[in-house]
Amino acid sequence: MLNEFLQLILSGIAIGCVYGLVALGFVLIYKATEVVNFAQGELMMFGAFIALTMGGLQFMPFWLSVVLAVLAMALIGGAVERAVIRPVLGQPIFSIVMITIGLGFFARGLASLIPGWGTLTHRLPTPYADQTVAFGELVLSAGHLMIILVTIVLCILLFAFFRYTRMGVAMQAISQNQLAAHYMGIPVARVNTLIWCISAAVAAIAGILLAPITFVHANMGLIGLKAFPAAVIGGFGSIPGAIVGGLIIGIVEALSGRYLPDGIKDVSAYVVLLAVLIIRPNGLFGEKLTKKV
Amino acid sequence: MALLTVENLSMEFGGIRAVDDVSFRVGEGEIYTIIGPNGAGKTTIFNMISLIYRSSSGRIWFDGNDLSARKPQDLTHLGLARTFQNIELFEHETVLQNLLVGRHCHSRTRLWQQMLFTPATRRAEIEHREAVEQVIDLLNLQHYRDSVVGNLPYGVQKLIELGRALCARPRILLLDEPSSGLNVEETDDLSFWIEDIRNLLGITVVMIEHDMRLVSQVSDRVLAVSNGRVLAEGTAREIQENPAVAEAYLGTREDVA
Amino acid sequence: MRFLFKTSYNQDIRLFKDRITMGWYLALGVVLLVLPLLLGEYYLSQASFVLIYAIVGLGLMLLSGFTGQISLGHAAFLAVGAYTEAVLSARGVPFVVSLPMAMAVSAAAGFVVGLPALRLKGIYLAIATLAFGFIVEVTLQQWESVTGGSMGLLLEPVTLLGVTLDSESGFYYLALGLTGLTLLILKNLLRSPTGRAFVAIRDSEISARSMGIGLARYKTLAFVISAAITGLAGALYAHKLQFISPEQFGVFVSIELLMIIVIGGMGSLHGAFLGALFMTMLPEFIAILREYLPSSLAYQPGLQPTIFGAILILFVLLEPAGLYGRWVKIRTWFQLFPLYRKGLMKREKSYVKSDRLS
Repeated sequence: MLNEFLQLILSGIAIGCVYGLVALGFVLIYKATEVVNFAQGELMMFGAFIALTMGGLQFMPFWLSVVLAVLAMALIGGAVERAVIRPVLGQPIFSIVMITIGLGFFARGLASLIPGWGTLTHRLPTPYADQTVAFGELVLSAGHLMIILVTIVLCILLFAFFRYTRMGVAMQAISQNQLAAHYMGIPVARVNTLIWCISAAVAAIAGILLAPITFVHANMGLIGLKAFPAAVIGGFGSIPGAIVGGLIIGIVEALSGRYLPDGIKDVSAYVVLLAVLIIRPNGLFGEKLTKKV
Repeated sequence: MALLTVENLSMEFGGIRAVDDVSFRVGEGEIYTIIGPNGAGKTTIFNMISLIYRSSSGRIWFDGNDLSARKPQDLTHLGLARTFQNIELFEHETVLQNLLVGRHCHSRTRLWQQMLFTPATRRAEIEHREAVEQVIDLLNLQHYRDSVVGNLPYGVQKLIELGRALCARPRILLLDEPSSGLNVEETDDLSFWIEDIRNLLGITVVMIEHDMRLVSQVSDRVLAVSNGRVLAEGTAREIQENPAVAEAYLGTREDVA
Repeated sequence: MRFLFKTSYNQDIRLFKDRITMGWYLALGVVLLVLPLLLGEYYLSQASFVLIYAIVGLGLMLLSGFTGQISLGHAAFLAVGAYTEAVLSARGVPFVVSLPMAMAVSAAAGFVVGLPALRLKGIYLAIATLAFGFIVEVTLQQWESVTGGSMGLLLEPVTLLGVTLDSESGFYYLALGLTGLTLLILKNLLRSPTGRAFVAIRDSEISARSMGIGLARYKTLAFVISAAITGLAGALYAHKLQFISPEQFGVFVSIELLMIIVIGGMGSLHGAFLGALFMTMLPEFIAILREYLPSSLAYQPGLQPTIFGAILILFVLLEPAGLYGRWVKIRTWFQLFPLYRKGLMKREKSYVKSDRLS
């Protein structure tokens, strides 16, 4: 009984990490450019598909295909920013929301049109597939364990990046005040592009981590819609908040899927979201939004 | 009896006292100016009077009403209107539409009457427009009536904001740095308008202002604040000769040496 | 270019700018009235869909285009209207009663969503409405005793005062009448204090409030009116299709509804109609396009979302003012000919205006 409960918590944490990573992608972009990227889940889906396609090439070892997929997604992320997002910066929030929603539609449709990707469900072969790790009586699949480990490592890396590198500090400056950062000689436009690269790369990692659990298909990006509640619960401007939000959503989903009636699982994330928003309108870790007059 | 009474007003932002125990009274028909160096807490005082910030302590009385029990949207109904330091207009709309919003506190028709646009609604609309035209004539805005606000020059936008507040027919008008961004000519015009607003319309004016020429031309009394505290109160002349005020603006001799 | 000399306040207030404009709209009205004589069954049916989408567009335009509140869950209001109508009409409630009931239930849902909207801004509100949309969709699937779950519900044609409107033209006239009524009420609202309050909230909440506009009251009101109008469209939609099921009201439908107003042109009532026309015609165009594509591509289900997404991106990038904005530009070009210059309509680009407290 207790074991089952702990088992649920563990798998909730693993899925929560994926939500958290996608949410992290939202937060990175939002903090720097105040754009909410509704296509974040689709970036993740593309990352998984690219890894799948590369893994399909016989001569390519798995780890190399992962690295290449992440790099390719970074390039795609930067290209999307240059082509579509930069021209609309400064327009009302509504236009920006609509353009990223359009991107999501486009990417999802496009993935199903690409030969070999299509509308089918694919299995991404990983070296750690079907392996399990036992902690006493608890059994965790290697896929889940991998998600948790990679998330921890990624968080440490991102923390170090923002804390100790020039570029990381520049990004923090931009998220405080774009105009001031521009005056201080920070190339705002270039840094924004780079943030999209990082965010798309993180999304690709999340996609590859998720692939062994949900398989790879054109609609796997819809998980991005679950990552929204995670980002909002975390406050939408806070990187640790995104991960915590993801974990909360993951655990709530795992538990409600087991203990509550059918169908509740699918909406539990949104119920939690609405509850948090009603109690704290700016999320658990959010900053206050007030205009100065 | 004073129209506006501010008693021991204080405001803290995360441990910093932006406004510290400020009190003053403004009589009916006065032009009362608040001056002080940047960051002295002038706009914070305005924001507390207009209930955008809730004061940490102290009371604000307007015409016998305790404002702490009120909401920001009740103020124009009570007869208190304001402008903003950085223009806050409805920039996608025409000048006429902006000014009509100023009439909002005088709209009496019900929702269903507006949906069906009953004769009562039509009459009320015509009344609003008459009131707005008077303000347009007063401020010489005829030329811009149907222009979209966002495309107009800064000086005109400031004037429209003043006009919008006037359309509410307030008893007291709070002006936050009305001359900022205006050139010398426009500032001169402004000083006449402020006097007209008081003399012709009988509206009490409280303003925050940096331009000492404008201040001494129109103000009946001046309040000098610095670091959130009251330094001195008196006529413009008294304030200019006050050593404490000069010190707050220019620093003491020891600082220079 | 015609100049208009205004000599009375009534001239500013009335529905049509001048006699010539009124003439054009009268002509349009006449065309719409005789449309059933001109079109075949199929195209008349499409015309009814345009009207239904236009009603939704009007409701959403009031909320997003005029009050500035983003809703990513508007299909939920459509669903509430449609299901209320389906359930009531199945129990024999006459249309003249069930339609206002559908609107009222939808308005109540709008009130509930509007409540958190008071405290939420921009993106938080968008995501809260998205959450609302999901919750309604799942409720419809799970509450089988009332909604029939994923089996859906069947409806009879509308019976209005004893007359059964089972012909295409009968339904068309019903939809046309209700569209006209909705348009008139919105137009009236927008030239009254309430409409000005909505627009004021859109442009600057802080000064709207300082001008005496209660944000809570008017934001909730915008949600309630918008939801009621969308509920009306939902009831019509249910009767038009005579079958409703949860997947007709999913999140992607909400996005398509938003596309109506974005493509039509934000902040204009004309835009709701142009957008509705465009969104109804788009699948037809895609069907035609399919014949010219290689068959490996043409029958992929992904084709439609790809095109929808691309069109949405292109509109926001190239014509943020939508079809109506494009029409205004073309009209101005002709009026000013040959003086029109390219930058005439260009708005100054502004910096990202942050609401974040710094």
